[in-house]
Amino acid sequence: MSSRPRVCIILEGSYPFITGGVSAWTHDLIINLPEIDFVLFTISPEADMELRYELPENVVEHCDIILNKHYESTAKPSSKKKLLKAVSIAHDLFKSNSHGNFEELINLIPEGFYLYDAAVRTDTGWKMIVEANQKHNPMYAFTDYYWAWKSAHDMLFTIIGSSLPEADIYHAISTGFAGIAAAAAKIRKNKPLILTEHGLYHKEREMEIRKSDMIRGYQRDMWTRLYNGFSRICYSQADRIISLFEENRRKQHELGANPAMTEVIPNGIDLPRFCIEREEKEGFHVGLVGRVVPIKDIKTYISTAKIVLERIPGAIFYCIGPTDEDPGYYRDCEMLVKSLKIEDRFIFTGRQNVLDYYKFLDVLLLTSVREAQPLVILEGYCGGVPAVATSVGNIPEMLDYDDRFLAPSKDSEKLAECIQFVHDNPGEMKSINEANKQKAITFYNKIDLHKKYLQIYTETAGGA
Amino acid sequence: MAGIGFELRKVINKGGLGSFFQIAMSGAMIVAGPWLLSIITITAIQTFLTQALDGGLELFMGVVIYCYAFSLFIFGGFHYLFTRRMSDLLYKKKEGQAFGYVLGLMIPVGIISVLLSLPAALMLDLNIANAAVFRAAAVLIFTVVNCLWIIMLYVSVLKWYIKILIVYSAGLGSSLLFIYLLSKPLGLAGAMLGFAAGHLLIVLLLIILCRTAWKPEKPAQPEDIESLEGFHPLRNFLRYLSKHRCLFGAGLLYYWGIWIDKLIFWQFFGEKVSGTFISLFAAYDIPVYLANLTMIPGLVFFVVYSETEFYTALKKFLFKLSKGRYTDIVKARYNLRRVTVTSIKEQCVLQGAVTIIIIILVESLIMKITLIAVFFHLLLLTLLNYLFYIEQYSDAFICSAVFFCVNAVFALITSLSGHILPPGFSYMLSAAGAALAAILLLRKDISTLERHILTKN
Repeated sequence: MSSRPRVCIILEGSYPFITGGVSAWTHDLIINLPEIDFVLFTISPEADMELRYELPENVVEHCDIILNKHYESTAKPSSKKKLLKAVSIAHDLFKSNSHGNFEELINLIPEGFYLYDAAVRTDTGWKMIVEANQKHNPMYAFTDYYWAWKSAHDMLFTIIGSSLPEADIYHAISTGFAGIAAAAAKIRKNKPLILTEHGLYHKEREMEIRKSDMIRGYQRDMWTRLYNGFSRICYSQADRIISLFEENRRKQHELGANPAMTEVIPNGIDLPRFCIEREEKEGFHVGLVGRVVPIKDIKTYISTAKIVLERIPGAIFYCIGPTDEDPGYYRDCEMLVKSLKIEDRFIFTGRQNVLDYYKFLDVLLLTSVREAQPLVILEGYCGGVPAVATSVGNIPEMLDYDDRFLAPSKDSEKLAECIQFVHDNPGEMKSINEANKQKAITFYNKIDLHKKYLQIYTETAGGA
Repeated sequence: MAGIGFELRKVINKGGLGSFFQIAMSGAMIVAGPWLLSIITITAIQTFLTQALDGGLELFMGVVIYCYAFSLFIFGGFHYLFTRRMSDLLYKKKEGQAFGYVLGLMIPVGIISVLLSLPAALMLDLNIANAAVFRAAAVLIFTVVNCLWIIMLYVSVLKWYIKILIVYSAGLGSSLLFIYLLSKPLGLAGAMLGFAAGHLLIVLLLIILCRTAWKPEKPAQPEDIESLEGFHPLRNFLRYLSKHRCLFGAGLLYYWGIWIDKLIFWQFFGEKVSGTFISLFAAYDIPVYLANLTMIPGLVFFVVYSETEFYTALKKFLFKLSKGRYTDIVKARYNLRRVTVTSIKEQCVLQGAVTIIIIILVESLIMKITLIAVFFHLLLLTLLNYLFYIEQYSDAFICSAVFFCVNAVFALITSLSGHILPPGFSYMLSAAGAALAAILLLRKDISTLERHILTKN
């Protein structure tokens, strides 16, 4: 290995294939730490996904695995006894809230061995599935239970059987499967593990599970237990656990993270770039910077626009972000704009240089159903643009818990009221904007963020 | 073949001697059609048309027996593969494709049959009139028999037992008529040609029968034509072969197991038919032929009762597996096991009774041994079919391998040891051993059936 520190960043369904806050954060981190060699280990839903970012020069290796794919084993446990022990542990792994046997499982399975078949075809494995079904879900169709168990655990087996590249530090950017991969690498390679959580993976999955019509009854419990288990395992193995804001840190403690290992490092933005001079533009301009995807809830944005336009007819609304990630959802949004007859006032700009819009926007609106610590709010602050947003993630703290700028998810009426307040109180907004700008400059400087991570990498690698 | 079994059960449920006779004849034709046809034809010739085979009975019999023997020895392995492929297509309601498959497969099989049998026919140094006609007829009979096996596999899933019976009867009658007409001008060669023509007529009539079973509802679309397997039968079939190697192997070794002792005994004990490479060992061939006829009652019972009961229980199990709780699945599995055991027991009682009665009546030791061998052979065949139904092809392969290997080894021992072991002993031992292996494997497979089905994917 070279003398330069080598950090393996482990991501799931994110950089460099998907654009967004986490991807932008990761890309920035890599670019701004040229003294570090980065290795990417990415976990993707499908093969041959298009790269959305040009990989910086200090990304020296990229390994991508497909979560739903069954890989051929190239190794096997040294004895049948070990194999059966591994099968037994795999079945019991998420039955209790302590996951001390995860380490034992990883030590029993070599890299390159996948438990897909052994977990169900061996007498031990089959017996455990039947026993679990009889104990927990005897009244449900057995095949439903079997396939739910299999689909959940096969993805886990893909991860724990995978070979991660050699590195000095393993840095997971979420718990979930990325966290499990990092935990497995830590155990096998005896190298430190750093975890950075933007949102809380298990909470986000739990929300998705609750909303899903396909996952019902006991399967919800199974999946929720699984995802909580992933987070617990990752917390138990991590040497440093980083969250973006205090509330998430507290929630990490609730799921077993050692408080002594946890810290808050907020997001940071490129201050020189985003602290721009405003250019006044006639009219009232509202912008949402984000991808046109369901999680950003663009439909609520459109509904809000309709309500605002009834009160402020001259307002113009911009949806600033790529529209190609979810073509079906984009089509639905376009149809909604048409049906509300606001095509002349609502513009989908596509991917743009956001600075061109921060210059003149009067309000930055964020209608997401889920966020962590959105960088766009900080970017807007630097450009003197106030934010109105839904109360998700760290947004309430970023907006100082000020109800004049906060609304519940999907509450178009309240969001419209907030926008109206901004429109009607230019004097007061001037001082609020200035305060926000100072807050962004003081607490959310990207240079501080990257210095902090360089320090963490140096300390962790040195201590390994 | 369960479909036709259900049809036959409907008839037998009507009661009466007529229904019983109908079932017996139809069932016999379905399970043993081509082979039974040849026996009945030859018996009829010997009874009513003796002069047609004047001075050439051994040659005639030899050619017919060798044609049947080698048709199964060479192509037998493909029959199970073909049946499996047919079942897949018919399950998907692709009758058109299935029929195209039949026709498509008969072409290469026919060509290969000609290519294999022509050199053999040319090797016959015949001292008879119209020897060329005889050779051509021998090639024709070998080719037609191979095609007949294929078309019979398709016809048997169509459930038209009465029509099949009519076609066979027509074929039998035509054979005799052709033999009578052609033997006058052409002698033994004409008799062979007439025999082949009768079989050919059966194949043609069955093709017409199959064609009427398939009525396309709409014109074929371009995408249908691209995917129609009849246009690339060999390539698709070879692809299927590589996917189901054990099924092919099981079929191949099963037929090899049936014929290996005969082939060995022909070499060591056979009497050559003058001017040919054909050897026959009448002291064993005839008992085997006759003993195999005694399998018919058991085979009919299998088609009408055992197989349909098993199929019904299996279907119930699969339904419970797809939708039921685990306790329901276990209950359905127990029921399947019970039905399997009961059907096998009852079939063995019936066949056992037939076997014992005939053993008492015959004096020949070889015949007695062969009758016992046939009893176990029928049991093996039943168990193999059950293994195929639950797609345990590797276990079926093991049983067929036992059948073949034990028969071969002990036939060789019999041959080399100078009759320390009587002919038929190897057949009996191998059939019994393979049946025992099949019982043990089937028991294990049924006990883990839900696991096997769910985890194989």
